[in-house]
Amino acid sequence: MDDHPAAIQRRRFLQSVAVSAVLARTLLSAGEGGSAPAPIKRRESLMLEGTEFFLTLERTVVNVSGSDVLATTVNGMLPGPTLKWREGDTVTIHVTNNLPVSSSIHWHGIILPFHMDGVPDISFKGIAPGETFTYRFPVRQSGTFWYHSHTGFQEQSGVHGTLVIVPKDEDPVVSDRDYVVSLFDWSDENPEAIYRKLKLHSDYYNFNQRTAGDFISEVKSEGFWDALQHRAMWNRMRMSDRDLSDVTGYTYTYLLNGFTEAEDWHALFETGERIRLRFVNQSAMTIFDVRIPGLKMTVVAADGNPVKPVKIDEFRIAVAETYDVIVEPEERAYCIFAQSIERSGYAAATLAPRAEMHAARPAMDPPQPLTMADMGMGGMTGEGGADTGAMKCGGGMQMPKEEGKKHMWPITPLPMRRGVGTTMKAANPRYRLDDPGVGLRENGRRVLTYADLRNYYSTADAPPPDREIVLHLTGNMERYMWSINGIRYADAAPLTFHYGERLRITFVNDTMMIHPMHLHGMWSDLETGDEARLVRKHTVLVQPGSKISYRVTVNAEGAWAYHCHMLYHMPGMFRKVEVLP
Amino acid sequence: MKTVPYTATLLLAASLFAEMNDDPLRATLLADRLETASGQWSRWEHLVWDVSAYAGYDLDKAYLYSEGSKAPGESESQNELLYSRAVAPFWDVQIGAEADTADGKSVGWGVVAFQGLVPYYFETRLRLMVNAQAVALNAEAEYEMLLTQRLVLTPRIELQAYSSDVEELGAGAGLSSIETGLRLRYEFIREFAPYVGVSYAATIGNTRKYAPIDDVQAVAGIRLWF
Ligand SMILES: [Cu+2]
Repeated sequence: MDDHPAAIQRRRFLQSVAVSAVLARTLLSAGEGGSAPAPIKRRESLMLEGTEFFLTLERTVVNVSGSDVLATTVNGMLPGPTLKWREGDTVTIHVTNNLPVSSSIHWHGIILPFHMDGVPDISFKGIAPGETFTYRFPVRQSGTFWYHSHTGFQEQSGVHGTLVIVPKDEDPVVSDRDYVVSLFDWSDENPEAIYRKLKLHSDYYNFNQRTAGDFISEVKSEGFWDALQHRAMWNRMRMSDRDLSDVTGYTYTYLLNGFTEAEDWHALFETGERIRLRFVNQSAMTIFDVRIPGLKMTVVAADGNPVKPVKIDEFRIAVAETYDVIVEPEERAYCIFAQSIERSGYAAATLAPRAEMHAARPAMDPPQPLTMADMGMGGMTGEGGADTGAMKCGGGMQMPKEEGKKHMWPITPLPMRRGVGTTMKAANPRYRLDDPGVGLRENGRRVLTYADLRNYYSTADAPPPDREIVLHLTGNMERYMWSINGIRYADAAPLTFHYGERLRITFVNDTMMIHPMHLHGMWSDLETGDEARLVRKHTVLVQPGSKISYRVTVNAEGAWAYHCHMLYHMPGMFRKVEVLP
Repeated sequence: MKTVPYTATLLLAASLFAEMNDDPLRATLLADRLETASGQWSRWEHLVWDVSAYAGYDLDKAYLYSEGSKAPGESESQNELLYSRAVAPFWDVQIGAEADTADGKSVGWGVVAFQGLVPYYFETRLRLMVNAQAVALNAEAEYEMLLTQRLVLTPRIELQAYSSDVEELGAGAGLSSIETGLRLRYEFIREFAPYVGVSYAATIGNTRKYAPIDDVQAVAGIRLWF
């Protein structure tokens, strides 16, 4: 009704159904009777639309990779149903918890009153077993978002789903068809068992470690002394340049809309159509690199917010990020290909005019090792001593224009601790906005970087920051301890924000892992180099050994969560934010 | 119907914890060496174990170590119970008690140990034992060299020294023994890896008057943990 006539004529909104691969048989009282329920049927399921929703969290038997195992699901689906909202509506969601433990649903990226945010012990007390909690809030934004449990590791075992919010006014993104593409890392292992293994042996899932054979090939390419020095440097620091992911395809089956690569979910189209694909990374721990071989993608939105269109071949999507892209395929089958950052597996589907067509899968790229720049040492090509040549990011490092004038606002000192929980300190962290990141450097494709992102709307009128806070992302990979400023969540005082202020937040990543940092309740206006086009995001990927800055207008009262979205980093790498009047 | 995985996950799912705890209590047991050896006319009658277990948290743990060997007519073991505290990113300090046995006799010690990962990824442990009779020192180092992702070559060395003779243990003052080995294991899964290798053990100096050992052995065993 509110739509622009031309847009509405071209658009058949979400003509395909949202997808849930598992419509499951659920266990209302698991363990009774002694006999196991039959494995569930895998099929597509419907999207829910309207202003009132009923969601039930329950234990469900699923069979993703050959064994019957228990998942925690929303309405018996994996992933949960896609909820379609309309900007300007007030939505009411009744969430019933039939799990044997407390639970919650958090509306990721949604701007709402804090007691509707769904984070146990911060926003509310959680949803006790058998109870129903009713969420009710006005929808004040549009785009692609998602929801998930914020309790324990329930997200890993299935409590997550996509949110699609239709704009009240004209959508700057015009398309004929609209698909949700959710990415997920399913494991038959219990999430607690995964976490325990990481605590006992942090390299448990890493089957891409350096071997003697690698050394021989390095000697061949670099010469004996350079190879030895290169290796010695990492070993001296007791770090591995192959620490790309903590958890890998060794235990994960990567799912696209709930389907394995072999099950081959299809996005159908008619030739000549513009198709909008709403990518959402709902994984617990997996960063994906996404491309559709043979097809250019135009990025039109990041984390739900429209951006100036950028034409690319490939993009990296960190846990919890969303990207909307437009594609205009020809009359043939294409593969939607999402390989995990450490290349231990991939999720894939087919984009084709007909259901019987199948797109061949491309080969996975070889994994790339981390460089000295990823340790926050050296950096650009030609710098960094023994690492010469290892760090190639195309042009120079792009940095925000205001880096030089960062002292124009005061930096609020915060407690900092270095000790058992911190193994590394980035000696020379840099803004690396135009660095596509490890695994995507120099691959011959046009890869999206944060430097490419420009807000669709002007941010020229945004006020300058009143002050800055600097947060170091810290950890000890060997002991699998994670923290912010060297202080884990359990020992940390809340961060204090003041209502009405404009903050600049700078992250320094003192670890060798990527951390997607997520601030609840307020937008993160990312400095990507154009002050007048700051990009609105809810989750910001912080590259290893790098720094990155964004602005936050503190316009939301209450208490909020602020954390890394890697599920097994989150318990330590977390802060409570208190917005004071 | 696969009832077994179903039941197993049911048990696990029932424990799906609700609270966010970055440092849950955990316990683990590692049998680093469980092997049989052949050398000096013996035919695979020499049994060796090297087992450790701990329960605890990121910083604080209770550790149990047991290392020893058994052959016809002889046996010896070293057993420790310690409190372990992480004091640096790669280092733990441990304090506790040790009981050593040799052919039925036993000797008690108070122990302080340093355990950690030195640069270049050598796993090391240095332990100082004290009782009324003597002070003893034990140092061991192990390196894991990956030939492939699952095939691991492990050189290992252990040295022992005593401040004075400890007759019950058949140990003489000074550097008393050296033990070094090279083992090649294959990790079918991380938790289970059979291996083969060679080991060399020798007694040194004053200890030779109790037991003159100079022995190269072939070894075969398994490494496992859970
Ligand atoms: Cu993280």
